[in-house]
Parts: sequence; C-alpha cells; structure tokens
Amino acid sequence: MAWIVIGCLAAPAAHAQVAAAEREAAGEGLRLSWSAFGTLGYAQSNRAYRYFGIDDDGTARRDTVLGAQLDAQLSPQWSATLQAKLAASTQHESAWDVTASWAFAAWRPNNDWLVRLGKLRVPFVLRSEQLDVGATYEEARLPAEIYSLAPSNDFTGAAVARSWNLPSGEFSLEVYRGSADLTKRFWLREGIPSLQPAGPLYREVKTTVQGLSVTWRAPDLMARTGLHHARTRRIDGDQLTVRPTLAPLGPGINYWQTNDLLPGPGVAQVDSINNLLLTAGFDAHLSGGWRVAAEAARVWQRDIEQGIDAVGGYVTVYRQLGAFTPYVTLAAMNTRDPANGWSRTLDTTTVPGVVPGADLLNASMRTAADTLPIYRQNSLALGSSYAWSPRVKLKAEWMRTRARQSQLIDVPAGEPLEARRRIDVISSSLSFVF
Amino acid sequence: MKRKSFLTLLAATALAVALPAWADDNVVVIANSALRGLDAESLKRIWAGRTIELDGTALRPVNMPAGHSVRRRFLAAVMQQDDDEYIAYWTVRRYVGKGAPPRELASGAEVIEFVRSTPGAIGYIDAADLKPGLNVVFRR
Repeated sequence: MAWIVIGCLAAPAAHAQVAAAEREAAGEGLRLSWSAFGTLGYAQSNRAYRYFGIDDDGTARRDTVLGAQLDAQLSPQWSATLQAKLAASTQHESAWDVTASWAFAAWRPNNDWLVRLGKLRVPFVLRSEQLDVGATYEEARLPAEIYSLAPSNDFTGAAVARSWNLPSGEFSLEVYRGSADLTKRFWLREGIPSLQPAGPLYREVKTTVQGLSVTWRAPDLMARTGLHHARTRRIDGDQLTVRPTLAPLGPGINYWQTNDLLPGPGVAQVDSINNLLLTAGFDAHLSGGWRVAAEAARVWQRDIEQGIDAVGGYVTVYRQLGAFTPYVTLAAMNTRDPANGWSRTLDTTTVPGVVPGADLLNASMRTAADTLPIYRQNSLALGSSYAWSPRVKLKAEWMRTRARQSQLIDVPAGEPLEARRRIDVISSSLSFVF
Repeated sequence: MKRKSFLTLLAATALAVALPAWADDNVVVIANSALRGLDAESLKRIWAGRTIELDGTALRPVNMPAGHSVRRRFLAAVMQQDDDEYIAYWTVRRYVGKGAPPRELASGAEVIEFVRSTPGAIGYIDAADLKPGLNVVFRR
C-alpha cells in the first residue's frame, strides 16, 4: 500500500521533471526537481501498554513515513514547493493518511530576504523543519521531551526571513504567523459509562501561531533560539475549563465538577488559551569526530490551571567513527503545578458508592484527569546511525524512559496516572532520500 | 652534451611527476558575460544557495553530476567539501525548505553551452575544455 502511494506521488513528479527539461530548453526558465524521502522503522517496548504509540507487540506505525517533494523554480527569485507524506494517521489508531506537509510559494527578491506563503513548518527547534526526513539526522527518534512540546509543527500562513551572510556563517531572523487545525489524542482509561468509551479520544483544536526565531548556521555550529506564541481553541465550539469546582453532594460529601453538564455550581471556562514557548538549542561539531547537541524549551500557560506549563531539554553527544555515529541522549521534561496538582486531585477523589450517580461522577473526574497535559519523565537513549551513503542511513537505538506520569503513556484501566513506570524501547530504522 | 641530456631527462621526469597533481587542480569557473572575476568565498556562497544574485544579476549556477571528477575537484577547491558532504548539505537545505541544489549538466560541453546562452549562468569546467571567448571568473 505504502509503495503504491509513494509511486503515485513520484510518477507525476518524474513526468514533470522531463517536462521541465523541455520547458527550460525552450527558454521559459521553469525548472522542476523532485525528491523523495522515507523511513521504514520498527519499534518495540517491554510493556503491554503503549508508550508513544509503542508496546510489546512492536509496531512499524510509529516511525515509518514516506514522502515526496516537488520544487518548482520559476526564476531565481520565485519558487514553489510541495511536500506530501504518507504516515500513520493522527486521527485514527490504525489508519494511514497522505497529507501535504508543505505547500508554499517562495519569493526571494535578493540574497538576504525570503518570503514564504502557504503551508509551512514552524522553526520551533533545531530539527523542526526536517522532522520527517530521518536521513538528515543521526537519532532513531528525536527526544519526545522537546519535540512533543510544540503545539504544532505545521501551519498555514506566512514567514519572512532575513539573512546576513558573514564570513564565518549565516545569521538569520525569521518571523511567521499562521494557523493550523490539529487533532489532539488523549487516552481514557475507563471513559464515562454510556457517554464516552474508554480508549483513544481525538479532539480537534485550532491553533494560531506566531513567533520569531534566530538561527546561526556555520560549518561547525548551528544554534537557534525562538519565542513563539500559540492561541488554541476547540473546533467544536466547546469551551476550555479553567479549573474544577468543588461541588457539595451532601453533608461532608463533595466532588470536583469539571463540566457544566454535571451537577454543581458550574465551572469557570474560557474560549481559548494562550501558550508562550521559549526555545534555545545548538549543535556543535568538535574536534576528533565529537559532536554535541542540546536544546531546552519552556512553555508558559496562564489562562487555565489545567494547561501545559512545562520545561524540557536534552543533551546528545555523538562520536563519528567512519560510517558509524554512535550517540547517547539524556532528556527530561517536567510539567508544573497547578496542573500536576489538579491531575492528582481528580485522579484520587472518590465519591462513595452510596451516593446516587457516584460511578458517573467518579468517571467524570478520572476522564478529566486523563486529558490533562502532564509530562514528568526522563529518558536515556543509546544508539547509532550507519551512513550507508549520504542519502541512506541505518539506525538502531535502545531507550529507557522513567516516568512518574506522562500523557505519552496509555495508562491501563484501573491503574493510577501517577506511578513510577520504566519503559524500554528498542528501535531500528532505514532512512533514505533520493 | 651528456650533462645537457641529463638535465633534460631530469626536467622531463620532474614535469611528468608534477603534471598530474597540477592538472588535477585545474578547474575554471566560467560565467555569462555580465559577471566578472569572483573570489572563492563568493563562489562558495553561490553553490551553497546563499547568494542568488550578484550586482543585480540573477544567478543560475550549474553542477556536474555527482561523482564527476571535475565536480570533485571543484568542490574540494572551492567548497572545501567532498561529494558526500555537499550532497548531505543540500539534502538538509532542501528539506528545511530553502530550495533545491543547482541543476546538473552532464558534461563540460553542456556547461559551456548553458553558460553561453543563459543570462546569469555560471558553471565550472576542466581547464582543458576552455574555448576562446568564454568569460573565466575564477581559475584554480
């Protein structure tokens, strides 16, 4: 199936390339070039529950992606890029989707300015733009402790970049603004009887993002820092709960109301929330084949007490040994109060069974806890890439994640959200571009 | 007489030893007539995609195919990269949305034809392929 789709993507591009040669020969100046990329990956953990979509049954869905990119150079100043990819659906547990990652027109009036309009990638962190192209980096999997913090990688809008070519490298400043419709996945341990089944819950949100990033690119150093703002609201029109409200049920019996449809005095709600994200990172090549990359991110959220308020970071040390590049990564991510506290409260408050509707009320609190963006985890990864050629990389990695609580874990029914869990994941992949 | 023959033989031997090394570096960069002499740093930026216009002229750089001996010599002399590093550089640049690498032409003859007929065109060829009337902007 995958190869059929990639063939469908590639065939028009190949035809276009021939056409391009003809057009260019005719003096029209249009040049089309296409390229394709992909990763065939497999990962397996030692746990029956899923972490980051991976469990002890193993899966190829998590890391496998196939894509093609068409670059149309209309003139040295004008170009257009279309990138389509086949990857696991973000809206379904087992389906695959073909989506357009990029579809933008670019105008580069001179050496220093670049204006892009259309569907683009946000330059949040070091490898945001090339996330899907595994052949361009060494790690089998980029650290979730940073790369899952961004509210969105793609957006539709505009980006303007100004570059300064200096003798030792290129300095660039990029500002952007746009929006994206996203699907957020939550895992409900037990759901709500007759209202919401247990298992995956997909919630559609619309995010408007804007920000700026500053990047330094030199042969031995890339560094990037950025400040980004995201405003998010639910597409279905529902509001977002600021905080649960303590609702009396009787003498000495209370529960936490999380929705206006439930009994109680009502909950404070807002139409949208604002997140501010500050990022900084570098990738430095040192002598003797050594290389170090590190990134840190901080997310602020003040509109609701149940939103993500987190800090994350990682350090990776690489050593190139011929075609092999072994590496070790240490990463950590932590969310803060009050969201951590609300998660604990909603997960541990229990209405006695003698109260009418106790099951529903308890389930509503557990389900609300399931949807809070709590990430308290760290990981150690040991791996290596093998550069078969500049266009092909083989990778293998062992990663151990220790989590006290993490929304990346599909916690089994009956288990508390907060518990010390240790998950080992083994990954292998083949990444290529051509 | 014997001494003169010996010196001639010595000079010929030295030349034979030195010639391959000298010829190995002999790449010239040619450009459409609007462009004038360029230094290695300027060329590096052009083939890295960072410079797209020079003195108001929109540039159209071209490459030889990957693995071509002239391309290898050009990359070593100007970009300080080998073929693998140059391909890896453009792979990243393409997939961060910063454009596609320069067009590839199969031979020196094609490069010469393209440069002659295309405003802003710039390419490199083996010095042995130089023809009268070409605008040489860099010689190595």
